[in-house]
Amino acid sequence: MKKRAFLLITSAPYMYVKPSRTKISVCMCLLILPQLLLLVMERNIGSLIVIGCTIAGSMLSEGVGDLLRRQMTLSDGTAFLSGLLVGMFLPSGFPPAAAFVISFFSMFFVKQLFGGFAGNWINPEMAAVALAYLSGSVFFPDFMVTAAAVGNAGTPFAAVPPEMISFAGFDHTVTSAVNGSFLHRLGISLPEGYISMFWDTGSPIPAFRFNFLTLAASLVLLSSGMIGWIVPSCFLFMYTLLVRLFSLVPFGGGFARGDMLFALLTGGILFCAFFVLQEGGTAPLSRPGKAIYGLVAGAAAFLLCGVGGSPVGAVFTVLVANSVTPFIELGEERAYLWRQRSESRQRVQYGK
Amino acid sequence: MAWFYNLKKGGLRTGSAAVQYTDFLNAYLPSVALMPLLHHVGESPRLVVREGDRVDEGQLVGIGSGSSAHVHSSVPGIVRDFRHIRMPDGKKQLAVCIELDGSFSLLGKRKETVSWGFLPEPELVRIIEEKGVINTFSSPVPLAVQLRSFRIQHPPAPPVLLVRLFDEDPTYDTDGFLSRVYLSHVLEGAAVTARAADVMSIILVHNSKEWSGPDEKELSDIFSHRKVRVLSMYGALYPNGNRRELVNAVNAEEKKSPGIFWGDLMIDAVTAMNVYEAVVHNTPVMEQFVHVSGDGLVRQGMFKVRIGTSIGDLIAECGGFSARPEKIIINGLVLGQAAYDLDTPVTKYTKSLCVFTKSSYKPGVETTCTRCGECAAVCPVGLYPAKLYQIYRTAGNSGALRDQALLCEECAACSCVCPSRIPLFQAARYLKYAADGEKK
Repeated sequence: MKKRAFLLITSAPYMYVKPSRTKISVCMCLLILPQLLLLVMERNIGSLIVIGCTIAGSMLSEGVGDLLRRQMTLSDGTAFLSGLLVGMFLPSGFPPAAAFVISFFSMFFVKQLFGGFAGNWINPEMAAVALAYLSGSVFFPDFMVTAAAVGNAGTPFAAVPPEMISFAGFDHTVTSAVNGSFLHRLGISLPEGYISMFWDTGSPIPAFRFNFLTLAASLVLLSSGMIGWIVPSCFLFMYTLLVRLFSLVPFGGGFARGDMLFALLTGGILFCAFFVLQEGGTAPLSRPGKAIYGLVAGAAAFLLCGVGGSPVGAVFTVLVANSVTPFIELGEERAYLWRQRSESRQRVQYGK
Repeated sequence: MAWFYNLKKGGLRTGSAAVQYTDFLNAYLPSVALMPLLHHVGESPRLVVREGDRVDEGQLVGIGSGSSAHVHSSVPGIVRDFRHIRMPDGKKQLAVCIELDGSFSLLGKRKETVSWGFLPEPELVRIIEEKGVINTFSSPVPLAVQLRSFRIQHPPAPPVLLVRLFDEDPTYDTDGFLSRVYLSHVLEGAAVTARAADVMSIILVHNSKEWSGPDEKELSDIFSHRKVRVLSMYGALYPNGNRRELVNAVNAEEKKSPGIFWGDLMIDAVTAMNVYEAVVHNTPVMEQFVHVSGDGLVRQGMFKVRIGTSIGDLIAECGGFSARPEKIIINGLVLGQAAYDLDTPVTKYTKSLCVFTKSSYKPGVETTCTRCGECAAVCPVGLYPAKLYQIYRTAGNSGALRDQALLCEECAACSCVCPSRIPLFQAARYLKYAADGEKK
């Protein structure tokens, strides 16, 4: 048979069990897209312009980095995703020009200083948002609840000013259905307002708003193996546990009386857990390391966000957790060496 | 055992178990057989035919010497010429081009049955050598050479023969097929090998939930009252069929002293089947079972193929391409090789063929490492492949780190999970051989 020269020789493997990085970036962008569409539908032009500017800043930063490094990484979608994530954490009233400049310089310096994508131990997106907060905190919303209000009202949800929660039209119906169908059997009832917060908190920061869409996206990300489950689950477990046990103790509300739902649905905790917390390079490598990282992040979130409703608590939580990563990695290196030594010993024992 | 073994570190859920066939098709005889001379690692056998010679079915065309195995003509015919052709492993080798002509001396005839029980052990080794049997457990090597060296210097314990009844690469099922459909032949082949190697005990390793073969007493009879153990690797993550994993799995069950050593003899079902054919039916290795799969073919299945048949002929046997092929993979999607052309012949170590179309094959485009840690998490020996790759790229000196590559088992699990599609195991292999070379 005649030779078929179209068969290109490439090296094994010819099957992959995890999606590629480009696919992960594109999918993450697509999973955030419904949230952007809702912003478009409610004509939230401010947020859309800010997001556009941060994406432009990030892409430009990556392009300049590519020119300096003489390699092409712009097309893999990570720069677009980084810009999108920065924009999602900035309030709608943030000056677009400042958003562009902060996105560009933060991405450029964090990535270039630490040796390119994933060489940085600090999350560049959250570094950009932190810089934005430090340089323009007036544009960020206040805490949803104050300590005095929680002390007076008894629960953080009751302490939220009514104008800060936008009640959805279906809230009453869904809440009644949920309470009537199964919650009453457990002897608990969900107050009205939580369903609205689950659907849309109405925060000026887009990442804090559409918890339902974030959770739906997380199912896709986790089930397809695009993100690991260890970091988000440890993070959410630790944070909600601490909130439940201790969050109301300083306000005289007693032990184990905290409001976990309020803490999860406000302040972008869910968005942070699934889209930000385990970005490559900023999270440890091993499974135990990832678990420790998630638990540390959960504890940091409790210290920084408290009962919930913090405008930048989630952002600084990520940065604090990132700063612990190098220390966890030191332990990991020792563990790898120990495993290799035990592997070598075993081989000698078995006659290799 | 399976439950315990699941707790091991590393490992990969491949999630794509190969189709398990229960029947096979005899592939058409090739009109022109391209008989490669070298089917294993090591020296090439000496050519003993000339252009224009007439050869019978099963006649020697290459005589092994020392570390090489004999090669027999798989079809009767006339030697037309000698060509350098591309082998499944990508190397160019000399092949004898035999044009089919004349009558078959073995095909269609009643097979003779030899009672091997009374044959002395060296005679069994000689027959295995004469029939050109190679051991395809890992890198193909002549079985007779292995048996001779094993008999001289076996490990510091009662010698053991381990028979793997499933495939190392989870994407094909050739060994598994033989173990299901021809288990009695495979066991008899293993019994011959055990006798030839003069081992004290035999370990049969399968990957089914329950052992459906002969019971303890029957096994004892088959293996001439040697100690036989059956071990299941059911549910174990990939890699579970290489030497290290099998040694660890067996020894995990032993309480006091290791039950098996690295140097013990290990064969697979294909090798046992070839030993059976060679010794019991006095037939040289001329055929090979090939698991054919992929959406690029009109028909898939298990085929019994004459060695020297080109993969182009085998594909034609399967009804040809269903669409324009993008990639043809030989011997598994995890550890296999991409075929260079359709003249590549089926060899003694060809176990599978997979044809991908453009829609089903997604090439891995390498991007920057994200330090996600997936490679480190799946590495069964606890290496950090991304770090080794970094050393490889920067030609870094760091000797201690680089020497870790010596532990690499080349299972490619790291490359399979890498989202950045970095050729991690190739880099580790490069460093391994570089470090190994320096040590020697």
